[in-house]
Order: sequence, then structure tokens, then C-alpha cells
Amino acid sequence: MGKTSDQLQGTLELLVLRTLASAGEQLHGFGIAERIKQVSAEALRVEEGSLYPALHRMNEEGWVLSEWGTSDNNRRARFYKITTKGRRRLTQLERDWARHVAAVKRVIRHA
Amino acid sequence: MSALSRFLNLFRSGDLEKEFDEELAFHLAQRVTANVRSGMSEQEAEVAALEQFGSVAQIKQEMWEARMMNVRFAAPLGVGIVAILCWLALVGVWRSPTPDLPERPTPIYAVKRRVPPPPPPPPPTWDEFVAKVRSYE
Repeated sequence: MGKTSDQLQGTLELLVLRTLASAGEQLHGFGIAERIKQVSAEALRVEEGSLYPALHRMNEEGWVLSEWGTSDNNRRARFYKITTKGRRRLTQLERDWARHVAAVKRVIRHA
Repeated sequence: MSALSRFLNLFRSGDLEKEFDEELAFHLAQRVTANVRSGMSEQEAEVAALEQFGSVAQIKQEMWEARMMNVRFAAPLGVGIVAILCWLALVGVWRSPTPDLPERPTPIYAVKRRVPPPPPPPPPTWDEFVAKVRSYE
């Protein structure tokens, strides 16, 4: 996997983990996608096809936990919540992101 | 997810397949509802939801790969468990427990005394030999 692809995957992980950490409750995949869209004022739209493989990957990594429950409209859905390991990963991803943004800003200012 | 769970996942592929289907179906149903709320007809909403979602088969394949990403750790664990069980069976450590029997004196047949082989019979005398051999008659 190339660097760009890694960064994109990292960005999706960052968005999902931050959304779950801030939500303070467990969310299903659709809820995660909708919340990212709302909070970013529709500037960011998670590619729904990429979301579920990413969630399952994060589940394997132990960053999120999943369990089946009932949604608001009374349907069975899989809900995700962030783990302690996931919070540590989130801290790391946010630090990497801040460093990346700072580097791009420096280039914009001085190049 | 523990290594054991990963290993057990290898044996519940049917359940996982069903779970993937159910999870994706829920998402699509939610998206259709949201599309209808935004003013689309039911049919338009379904088409738009599927277009937005992409290939369900491809997504499921990627979900499988995500689930199996750590099988490289789980498979050696399984092989290791089987190898240890085989070894235990071979050395006889894992056998059924023997009942507690009262202590008995060692049976006679358990003690083998080295008995020298009997001496070979003495060679026959000439008369005995002639008496046995009838070809001269």
C-alpha cells in the first residue's frame, strides 16, 4: 500500500475514532457516517463502501468494540464503541495529523 | 480481539457472512429512508443508496480481508495447539487417570530372573546313531 493510501486510511480512522470518542455512546456505521457529515457541515463525506472494512479492521486491531443492538427504528444493528487502546491510537493519529497540517502550512507560507 | 477469537473465526465463516449481510442491509435501509426524507421517490432512493454504496460484493470481500488480517497470527496458534496435543498424546502424559489401588507387593511376574539356557544334548554314541539310521538296512 502506498503512502497516500496509508494517509487516506489513517484519515478515515482518525475521523471514525474521534467521532466515537466525542459521541460518548456507541454508534452504528450509518450513524458514524452521518455524524461526520453533520459535524463537518457536509464538507466531509465518508465513502460508505470504505467505512465498513475500516470498522472491521479497527475491530481487529482492538481500537473499537462492536456488539449487536437495536436501533432507534427498532432494527437490529451492529454498534461500535471506542476502546482504551483506540483512544491511545486516536491521540497518536491527532498528533500525526497536526504535524502534517503544520508542515503543509509552512510550505504554503514560505514556498 | 484475542488470538483465540481470531482462530475461532476460522470456523464460523457462515455466521460472519450473515452478519456482514445484516450490517450492510441495515446501512442501505437507513440510507434509503434518509433519501426518501430528502424528497426522493422510493425507487430513486434505492437506486441512489446503491450507487452511493458501491459494490456490495467488493465491500464484503474487503470486510473478510479485514477480519482475516490477523489470521497469520491465529493460524500458527492453531498449529501450535495441535502440535502440543499430539506431543502429549505421544508421550502419554494425557491419559485417563488410574484409580487409586491399595499398595500391593510386587507380583512375581514383574521380576525376571536371568535363567541360563539348558545345555545342548550330548552327541549320540555310534550304536545309537546306527540304531536311528535305517538307510543301511
